[in-house]
Amino acid sequence: MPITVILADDHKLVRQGIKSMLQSQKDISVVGEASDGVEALKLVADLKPDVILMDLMMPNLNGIETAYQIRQQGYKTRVVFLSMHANASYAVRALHNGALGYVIKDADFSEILAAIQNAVEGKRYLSKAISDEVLEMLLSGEGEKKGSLESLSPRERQVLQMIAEGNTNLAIADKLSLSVRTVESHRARVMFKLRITSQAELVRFAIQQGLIDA
Amino acid sequence: MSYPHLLIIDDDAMTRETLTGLLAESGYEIQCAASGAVGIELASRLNPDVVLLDVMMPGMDGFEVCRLLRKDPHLAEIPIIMITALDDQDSRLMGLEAGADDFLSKPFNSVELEIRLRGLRQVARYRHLREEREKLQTAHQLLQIQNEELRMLSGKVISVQETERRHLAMELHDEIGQQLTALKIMLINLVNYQGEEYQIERKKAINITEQLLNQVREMTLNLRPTMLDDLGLIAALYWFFNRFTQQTRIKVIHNIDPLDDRRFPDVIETTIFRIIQEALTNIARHAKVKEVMVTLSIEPHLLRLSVVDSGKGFIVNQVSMGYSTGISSMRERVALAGGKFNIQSTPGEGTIIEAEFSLPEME
Repeated sequence: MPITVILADDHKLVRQGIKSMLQSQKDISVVGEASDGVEALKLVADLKPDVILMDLMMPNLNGIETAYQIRQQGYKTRVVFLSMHANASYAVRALHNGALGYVIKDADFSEILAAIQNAVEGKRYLSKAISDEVLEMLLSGEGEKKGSLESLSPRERQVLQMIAEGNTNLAIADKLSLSVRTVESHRARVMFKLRITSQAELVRFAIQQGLIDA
Repeated sequence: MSYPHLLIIDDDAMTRETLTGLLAESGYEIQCAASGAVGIELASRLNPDVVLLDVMMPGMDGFEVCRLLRKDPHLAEIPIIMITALDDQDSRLMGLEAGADDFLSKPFNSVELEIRLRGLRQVARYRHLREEREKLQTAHQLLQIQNEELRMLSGKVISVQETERRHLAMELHDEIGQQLTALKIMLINLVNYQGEEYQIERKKAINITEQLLNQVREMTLNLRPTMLDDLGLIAALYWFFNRFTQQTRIKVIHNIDPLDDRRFPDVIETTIFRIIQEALTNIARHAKVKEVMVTLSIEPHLLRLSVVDSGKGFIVNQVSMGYSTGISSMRERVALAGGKFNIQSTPGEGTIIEAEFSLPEME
C-alpha cells in the first residue's frame, strides 16, 4: 500500500513541482490537491490521507490553523509543513499546533521524503537548516547568568530594596527626594546590571540576597 | 424659573438688613454672610449671580475676598460690587485692582442699586463671551501649529519613502534582475549540453536559483519581516534579536517568550518592532557595548517597552544629525501610535529608551 498524500499550497507551480517529484516515488501516491486551508480540511475529511504536505501561509485558512483543526477534529492524517520560512519561530509554532514535520521549500528533495516517511511512523522531522535553531529556541532562557549585587551602586541597592518591598516609583521618589524619572532610570539600570527582566524576578533576587524577608 | 442669586458679604448687620430690605421686591434670592471667610464658602457653594461685598471687614477684608474669588476658576466670572465710602478714591482703585466690577456707597438708593445690578449682569455676559472667543482663538492657533507639524511630518515620510523605493529598485535591478538574466541564458543554452556537461550546467542553474531565493528572502525580511504579520510581535522580536546577535555579536538580554502567541493591535506591534529595530541599530553603531537589555512588560491594559544599554551614552539635545533623526522618528512613531516615549542618556553611563502604549479592551 503506497502512502497517500494530499498537497496544499496556494502556489500552483510549487504544487505541480512537488507533485511531479513525489510521483516518481513508487511508495507515494498523491491523491488530492488543495489551494487553501478550507479546501485542505475538506479533502482530509473526504479522503483521509496518511499525510498532508502543506504550505504555512495560505489564504482563507492558514496552514497553522488548518493543522490545529485537523488534530482537533481527530483525523489521523499527519501534517508536514513545507514552508518558505527558514525560521525557527514558524517551525515551533507549527509543531505546537500538531504538525510532525517542517521542511523548507528549497531543501533537498530527500528531506521532504524523510519528513513524509517519519510522519507516517508518527515521528517528528525538521529540516537540517533549522533544527539547531529550533532546539536553541526551546532551550532558551535556561542557565542564563545573573548579575551580582556587588555590581550595583549603593543608591541602586537602596532602590532595589525599596522596589522589592513593594514601593511604587512615585513612593520611592518621594522617600529619597528624587524625581520619578531618576527612580525609573535607577530601576532600569538595576535590572540591566542584574540581567533581570521582570518585577517578580527582581523580588525573588532580593529575597535570595537577604535584602528583604521572604 | 429660578430667581437670580445675590450674595451679600458684610460684617455689619444693619447694612445687610438695609440691602435685603431695599431689594425685597426686586426678585432676587438673597443670601448673607457676616465675614469674608463665610462669604467665600457660600459663594463657592451657591455660585451666585452677583456679589455685594463690603470693603471694611475685620479679618479678611473686601479686597482679599475679591482677589480670592477671582482666583477660583469657578467663581472668577461672578460680578462683584464693592461697598465703599462715597469719596474714598483709594479704595475704589484698590477694588478695581482686586477685580471688582462696580462700586456702591451709602446711603443706598434702591433705584441706583437695581440699575447697577442689571448693568453688571450684562458685564458678566460680555466677559463670558469674550472668554469663549479667546478660547476659540487659542484652539484655532493650536490647530494651525498641529497642521504645520503634520505637513512637515508627511513631507518627511514622503522623502523617506522615496529613498527606500530607490534603494529597493536598485537592489531589484542589480541583484535580482542580473541573476535572473543569467539564469535565463543558462536555461536557453542547456539544450547545447549533453551528459556530464549537462549535469554541471544544470547544477549551476540550481545554485543560482538558490542564491536568488536567499536574496529575496533577505530583502523581504529587511523590508518587513513576514513574521510580524503571520506570528505577531513577540515571535518577530525573538527572531530579530537572534539575527541582531548573529550580525553584531551584541547579546540581547530580553524577557521574550518565543512561545507566547498573544497579539496586539497592528499599529502597536509595528511601532514597537520598528522602535526596537532603530534603537538596536543605534546601539550597534554608537554605543560600543557587548550587551543590551530589552524588556517588554505586558499588563492587562498596558504594554511597556524599555531598551537599556550601558554604552557611551550622549547628551540628548546635542547629538549629531543622523542620530537625532533616528530619535525623533522614534518619538514620532510612538506619538502616531498614541503612546508615550522617553529617552534618557548619560555620557559614560548609557541610554534608556522607554515607550508605553495603552491597550484596548481585549474581547
